[in-house]
Amino acid sequence: MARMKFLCDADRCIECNACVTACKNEHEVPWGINRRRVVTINDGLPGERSVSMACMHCTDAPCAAVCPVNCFYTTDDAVVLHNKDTCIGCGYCFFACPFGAPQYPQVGNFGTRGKMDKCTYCSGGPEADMSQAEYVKYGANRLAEGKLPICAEMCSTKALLAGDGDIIAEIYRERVVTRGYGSGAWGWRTAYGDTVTV
Amino acid sequence: MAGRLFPLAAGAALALGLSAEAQDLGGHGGPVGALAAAGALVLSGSFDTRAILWDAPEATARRVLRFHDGAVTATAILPDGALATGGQDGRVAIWAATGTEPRLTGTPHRAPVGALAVTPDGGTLLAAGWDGQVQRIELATGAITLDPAHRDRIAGLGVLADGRIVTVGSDLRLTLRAPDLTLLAAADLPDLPNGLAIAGEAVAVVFADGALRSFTPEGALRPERFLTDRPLVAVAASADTVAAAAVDGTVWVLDLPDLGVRHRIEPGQGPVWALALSGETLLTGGADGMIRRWSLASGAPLGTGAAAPAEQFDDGSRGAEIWRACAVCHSLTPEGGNRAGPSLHGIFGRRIASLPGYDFSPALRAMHLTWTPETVAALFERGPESYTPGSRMPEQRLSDPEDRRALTDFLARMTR
Repeated sequence: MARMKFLCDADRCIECNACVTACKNEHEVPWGINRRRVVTINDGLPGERSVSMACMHCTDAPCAAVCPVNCFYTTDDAVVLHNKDTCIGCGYCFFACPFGAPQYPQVGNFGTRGKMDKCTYCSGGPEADMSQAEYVKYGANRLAEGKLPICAEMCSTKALLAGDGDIIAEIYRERVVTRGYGSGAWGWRTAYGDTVTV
Repeated sequence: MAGRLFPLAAGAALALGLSAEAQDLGGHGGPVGALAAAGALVLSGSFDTRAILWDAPEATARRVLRFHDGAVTATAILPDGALATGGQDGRVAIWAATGTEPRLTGTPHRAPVGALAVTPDGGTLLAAGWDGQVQRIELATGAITLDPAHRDRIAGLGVLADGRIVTVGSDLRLTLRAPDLTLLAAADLPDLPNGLAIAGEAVAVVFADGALRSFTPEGALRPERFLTDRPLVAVAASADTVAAAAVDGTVWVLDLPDLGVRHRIEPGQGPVWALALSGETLLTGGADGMIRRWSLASGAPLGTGAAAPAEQFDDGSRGAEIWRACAVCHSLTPEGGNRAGPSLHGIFGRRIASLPGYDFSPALRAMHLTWTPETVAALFERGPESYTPGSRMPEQRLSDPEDRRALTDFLARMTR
């Protein structure tokens, strides 16, 4: 099995938000929740950088370490998923996440403890692959269809890469060597414990 | 010396196993997520939906405050002895020095309240929400001003001695505002902030990349220190000391302004979600529901460090495995008491919402249902939203009939 990863090349992101929009559309993500968002620092100033942020499916996921009900699990592709039937919406995973990935409905229909929602790497959840129940709770399961996450597929500049970690790291290395600079694969070290050496 | 329990708020009977000798403050039925300290008083907020006002020297609970539909996520003690709480339900409540109901409530945020702060004159309470809004509440008049300070969750809020307001948000921005919330300055942050504390003229911010960074109020970076490769999730500061906690439960005490590490503490209470400084004492609030106290001078525990009362009911069965998720909110014994949910001791044969001492929702009290293995199984087949509408219980379902049977068999064995 491949070790699936995301790679955000901050030198290429043009803040077009196609990743955000594609994700919302593909999974019919409810109002008030963005599984992916684009954050720009030094906006309008020299050194401006934009990064597309979502769950990075960390190697040693801190969200899973703090979950009081153990609702997180890691797939054979190393994708970090969670079980909404078990989640109690406590919010602790949000504090633990280095990427601010966990999202909660702004208006829960059972008090305030709406189920946590986050990027699934377009690989659904614990329900049967590509079932209606899986789609309603977690969205599309593109990995089961042999496809990669829609956010990276729709990225207009291919700043956001998804796929086998070794392959996308090699693509990034080639880019940096070709263009002669690289501000780093944003979040890579935090998520996966190593850097993309060039 | 035996533990003492001061009169509690109506309907809030908690089995507080207090001991002044232990010096640790135990009484919450879930993780402690908020702490505020002022003199001898400590105000804690927990996942169990309660806030508790503690008399720290006596290690006794003075008041238990119940208002929020969800975890209490922020607390503050006002100069005149009044109290403020903010919740996962987005609501802010201001409590007079006595009484069982809040005297004032703010405008509900559309998302949990992340932080509370009081102006130096004690006249204004500020509340920051995960919806990016800062709410300014005039305590004398109840007048409210809302300001969309950030485009994402506000992770930290503090007030400087001159009344200016500092916020940090998940939009990777630090803002400095005048007391009337007018924007004075803004700066970009290098990573995701998780909390903010005012340290004299400096602003201490903990980040998800494991760094503690200090800033000027205008956002210029002062000394920074990478403490860990795990996210830092809590911070507290005084004029010369700052404390930071990581998600793995490690706590650092550092000297200002250079951020030299004075102590590294392993409280051993799971993730530490809240910190507070009170004189020469550091308080840590953790996932075990306990509030522990530590000497800032030596880093040594002031209490016994005794583990929170834990119920171990793992008999190796599938039912026990399923129960682990329920145990966050429920206990199985009378001694375990009520947590965010009521104790399940003796549940079978009991009418719904009839257990004394637990504040059931009105919807549950109006229902006519007796808990049996069949009705509990039906609850988890259909989910509380459908089976017991109006319940505060998070939606939980067990789709496998064998799992439902395993859970009810386990409850039948353990709740007699």
